[in-house]
Amino acid sequence: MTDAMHQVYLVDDDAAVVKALCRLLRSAGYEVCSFSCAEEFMERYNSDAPGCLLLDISMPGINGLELQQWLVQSHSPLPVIFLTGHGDIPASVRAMKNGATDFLTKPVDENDLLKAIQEASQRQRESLAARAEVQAIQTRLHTLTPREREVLEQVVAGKLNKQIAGDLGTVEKTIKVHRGRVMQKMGVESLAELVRLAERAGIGRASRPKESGPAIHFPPV
Amino acid sequence: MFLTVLGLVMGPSMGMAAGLKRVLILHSFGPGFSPMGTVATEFRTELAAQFKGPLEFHEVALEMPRMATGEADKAFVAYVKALYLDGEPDLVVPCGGPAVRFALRWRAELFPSAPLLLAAVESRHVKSFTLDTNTTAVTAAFDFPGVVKNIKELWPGTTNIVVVLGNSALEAFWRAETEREFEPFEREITFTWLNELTLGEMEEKLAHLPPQSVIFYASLFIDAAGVPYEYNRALTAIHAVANAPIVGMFEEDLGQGIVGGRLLNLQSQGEATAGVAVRILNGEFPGNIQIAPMTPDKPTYDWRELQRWRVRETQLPAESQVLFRTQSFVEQYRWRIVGLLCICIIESGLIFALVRQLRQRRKTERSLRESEERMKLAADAAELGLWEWNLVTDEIWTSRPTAPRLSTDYSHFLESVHPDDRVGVAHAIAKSMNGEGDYESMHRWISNSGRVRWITARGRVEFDAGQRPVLMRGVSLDITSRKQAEERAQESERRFRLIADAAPVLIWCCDSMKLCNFFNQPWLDFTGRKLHEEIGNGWAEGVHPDDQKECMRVFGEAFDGRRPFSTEYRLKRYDGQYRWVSDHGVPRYDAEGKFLGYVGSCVDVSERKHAEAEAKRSQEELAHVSRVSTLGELAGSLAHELNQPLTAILSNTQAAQRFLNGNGTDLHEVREILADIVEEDRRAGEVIVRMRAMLKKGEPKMVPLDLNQIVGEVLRLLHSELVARGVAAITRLAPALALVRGDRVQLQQVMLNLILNACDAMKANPAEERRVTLQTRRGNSGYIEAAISDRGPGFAPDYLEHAFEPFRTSKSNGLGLGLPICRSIMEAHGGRIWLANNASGGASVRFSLPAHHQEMP
Repeated sequence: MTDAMHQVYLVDDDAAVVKALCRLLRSAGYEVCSFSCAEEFMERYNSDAPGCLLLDISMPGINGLELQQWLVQSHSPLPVIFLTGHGDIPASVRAMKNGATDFLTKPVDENDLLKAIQEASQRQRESLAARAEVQAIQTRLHTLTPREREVLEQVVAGKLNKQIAGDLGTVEKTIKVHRGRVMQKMGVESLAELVRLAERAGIGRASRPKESGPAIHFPPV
Repeated sequence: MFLTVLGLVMGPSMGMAAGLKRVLILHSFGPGFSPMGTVATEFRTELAAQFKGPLEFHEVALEMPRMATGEADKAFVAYVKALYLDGEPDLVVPCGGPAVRFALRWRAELFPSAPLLLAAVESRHVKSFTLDTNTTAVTAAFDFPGVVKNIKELWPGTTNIVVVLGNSALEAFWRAETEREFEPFEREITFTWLNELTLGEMEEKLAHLPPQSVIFYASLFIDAAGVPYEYNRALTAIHAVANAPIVGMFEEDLGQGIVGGRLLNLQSQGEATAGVAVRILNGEFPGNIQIAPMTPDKPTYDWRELQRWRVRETQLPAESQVLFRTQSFVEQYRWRIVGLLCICIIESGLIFALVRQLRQRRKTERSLRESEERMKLAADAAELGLWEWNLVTDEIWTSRPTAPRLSTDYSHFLESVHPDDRVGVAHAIAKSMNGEGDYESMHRWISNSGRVRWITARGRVEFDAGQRPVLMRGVSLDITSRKQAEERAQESERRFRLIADAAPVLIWCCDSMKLCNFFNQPWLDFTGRKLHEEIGNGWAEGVHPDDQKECMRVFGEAFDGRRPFSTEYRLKRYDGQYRWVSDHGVPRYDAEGKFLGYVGSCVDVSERKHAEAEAKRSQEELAHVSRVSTLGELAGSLAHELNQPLTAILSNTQAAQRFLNGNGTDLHEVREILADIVEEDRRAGEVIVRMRAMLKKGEPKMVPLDLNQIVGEVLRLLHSELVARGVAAITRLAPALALVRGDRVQLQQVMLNLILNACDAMKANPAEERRVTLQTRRGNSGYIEAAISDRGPGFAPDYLEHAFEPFRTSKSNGLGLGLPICRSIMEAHGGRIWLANNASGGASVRFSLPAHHQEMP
C-alpha cells in the first residue's frame, strides 16, 4: 500500500483477464489503466505519466515484445513487467535484455504480482531521481561558455592546466580563471566532485558511444 | 477451332461459270445439330430437286457455342469475306438463330448485295431486326404455352415440369423465353431448368424425378461441361434413363422418345424454304416474298410412349394422330378371336340343338341335314371336329371328311391313337359308357403322314330305355400348337433351372406379388433349407434381424417402382453363421411387357466386407494418431488457452479475498466476482471439452453438421496458436449454408490440419502478410465447398501432383501424413479435396462435401 498513488498500465487482449487483474490491483490500491491491444496503448500513452506497465506477450497485431521495443526506442522510463501464458526461454531472454523488470507467468499469484509492481516502482523512482539529477547538471552545463566547456572536457580528461593551455593556444593563467569559473558555475568544491558530475552528464569517458551495455533507463540528453 | 467449312467444292475461278448459282448455307452449329441441321439438310435436298439449272452449295458452320466474344465474330467475318473475294454468292441462307443474327449483323460488310434467306429460325430471333428489302425469312413459331397445355391434357395431375436445355448462348436465350412464357402456369406447376448441369448430371436427376413430373425436352446442343451433342444423342440418352414422360417440339423427335403433342414439321419447313429459294434464284425479289411463320401441325403421338405412360387415347385432343402402333397378340387378332369365340358359342348352341333334334325329331330329316350342314360349316371354321359313334353298328361319323385319316369304326379309331395313350382313351370311353359321366380325354393322335397331333375330346353317351349305351356324340379339338408352346415353356423352364443350379451364385425369383417362387440349388445349399421353407417370404427368416427392415425397404421400394436394386445384408448360412451377401435384383417381363416379378442373384461378400471394415478401422486409427500428434504440437497454445481463464479465476478470487478482508465490504462487487469466476471456470471447461473431443478415439458419428459452425469451433481451438504465430484468420462464410453429413471431430481435424498447414506456409512472411482466409460456399450440384487460402509461397508444381501421397511433405519437420489423412476422411464422407495455387499468390486447399438432404416424404 506504499504506492497508493502509483499508476499501473495493463495491456492484455483477454477481456476477462484484464477485468480480474484490474479488480485485484485496485483492491491493492493501484490506479489501473487497461488497454486491449498494444496499438491502443501506443496511441493513448503519455510518456510523462509515472507508473509501470503490465504487459502480455502474445497478442494479435503488435505483440508485447514489439511494444517493449517501441518503448525503448522512444526512451520511455516506464518499467515493463511481462505477464504471459506460456513464456518460452527466447521470449524471456529478449524481454530481460530490453530491460524488463520482471517476467511473470500466468496464472500469477497476487504476492508475486504486487512485489514485482513495487520493485518496478522503486526502480522507476530511482531512475527518475537519477534523471532529475542529470537534468540539474545539464542545466548548469548550459550556463558554461563554449570555451569553459572545452576546458571542462580537458580537465575531466585528466589533463594539466599547462597541457590544456597548450592545446587551446593560450596561457596557463587564463585556463586557471576558466577552471575556477567552471567550478563555480557547476557548484562544486573539488575536482573529484566535478569529474563525478561530468561523468553523470555523459561527458568525458561516458561521452564515448557505447555499442552495448546495461539497460539504459534514462537517455543521455 | 472457330469454324468449319463443309463441302466447299469449287475454286474461286470456277465459280464464275455461266448460269451456275452459288448458294451459301451458314450453319449456326454443325449440320448434325437438330432442329436447324434437319431443316438445312431438307432444304438442300429439295432445292437441288426443284431448281432447274446448275447449282453449287457451300456450307459454313459457325461453331457458335464456342464463339463467346465479339473478337471471334470478327475472325468469322474475315474468313467468310476471304471466301467470297471474287464475288458474293447468289443466295445466302443462314440456318438457325445464331447464324441469322450473325448474317444480319455483318450483312453490310459481307453480303451487301446478295439476297438473304433466313431459315430454320424462330420468329423471335428475327423480330429485333428490321429486314432490308433484299431479305426474306421462313420462320417457325414455338408455342410454349401449347406445350404446357399438351402436358396438362395428357397428365392432368402434373405438378412438376423439368426443362431440358443446354448451356449455349442460344439456349440461354431460350431459357429466358421459356421462363417468361411459363410464368402464368407457375401457380400450379413447378418448373425446373437443367441448363447448368452436364448431361451426366441431367441423367442422374431425370432418373429420379418425383411422381407427377414431366420432362420438356427443348434442346441440348452443348451441356454445362461444354460437351456438344449432335444427332439427338442427348434425347436418346435421356430417354433411356428418365422415369417420367418426355415431351418435345419437333416431329422428328417423335419415335426418339418423346410422347408427342403439337409438333413442328422440320421437313415441310425445309421444303418451304427451298420453294422460296427457287423463287429468289429465278429472279423474284426477296422483299416481295412473305411467308407466314410455320406453326405446329395437328397433334401427333407415339403409341409406345402413350402405353408406357398410361395415356388413354380418349384423352388425346381431337384429330390426334397416333404413330408407331404395335399391337399385342390379343389386339392383333382381336376380331379373329372374337369371331372364334362367337363361333364356339354358336356351335355349342347348335350342338345342343342338334342333340335335341336327333333325340326328338328324327322325322324332320331335311331340316336336320340343314342344321348338320351349318354345324359342320361352323365347326370346320373353328377347326373343331364333330363326331358321332353309333355303338350299335360301330360306325363312326366325323364332320371332317377331309381329315387325313378317317376313323370308320372303334378299332380304327383306337389304332390312330398314339400307342401310349390308347389305354387311357379306351378307359375313358369305357367309363363314360358305364354311365360315369361325360367322356373327356386328351391324347395324341397319329396322322396318316405319321405326324403326332394333340387332341382334346369331349363326348356324351346316350342310353336307350334299357340303359344300354347306343350312341356317343362329341367334339374334338386339335391342340397341338398349344401343347407345343407348353412344352417349349417347360423346356425353357428346365433349361433355366439347369443353368440356375449350375451357377456359382445364389439365384431367386419372385412373382408379381413379391412372393418368392424359386431358389436355385446353390441358395438351398447355402441356407441349408428346403425349397418349401424358403418359398413365399420364408427366405426372409434367414436375414439377420438387424438387416431385415432395411432389406425389405429396399426390396419393396424398388419393386413398387419396378426398378433394379442392389443391397447388402447378412444371410444365415447352413452352419448358423451370418454371411454378408450382395443381392442384385431386376424386374422381369414377358414378351408382351407384362410384369412377372423379379429375378435376382446374391454373392457372398463377407471377405470384402471384413476387409473394408478393417481398412476403415485402420483409417480411423491413423486419423486419431494424427489428431493426437497435432494436439501435441498445439500443447503450448492450448496451455495458454487454459491459463487465461485460470489467471482470471485466481486474480478474481484474490481480489475478492481482499475485498472481504477490507472495511466496508461491497457485497455487490463480490457477487459480480463470483459470477465471473463461474463464467471463467466454464470457459476453462470448454477448452478441456474441445481438447477431449479431439483426443477421443471412437467410431465416427455421421450427423448433419453446419460447416460454418465447424469453422468457428476450430478457430476457437486455434485462437491462441494463431495469435502466437501472428496469423490473422479471415472468414468469408456463406450465410444459410445447407448442412453436410459428417463426423464433427473428423471434419474439425481436416480444417485444423489445413489451417496449420497454411500457417506453416506463411512463417517467413512479414506480419501483415500472414493471413489465412476461410471460405464456405454452395458448390456445384448439391455440394458444399470450403476453401482455406494462405499467402505463402504456394505449392511447388511437382509437389502439387503428389501432395496426397503419404510421406510427401513440403515442410522440414512434417511427417507427410496430414494431407493423406485429410483425403481419406473426405473420401469416407463422400467428398473430395484438392489443392491449387492462387492467381494472386499463395495457395488454396479446397474440399467439398455432398449437402445433406432431409428425407423426402
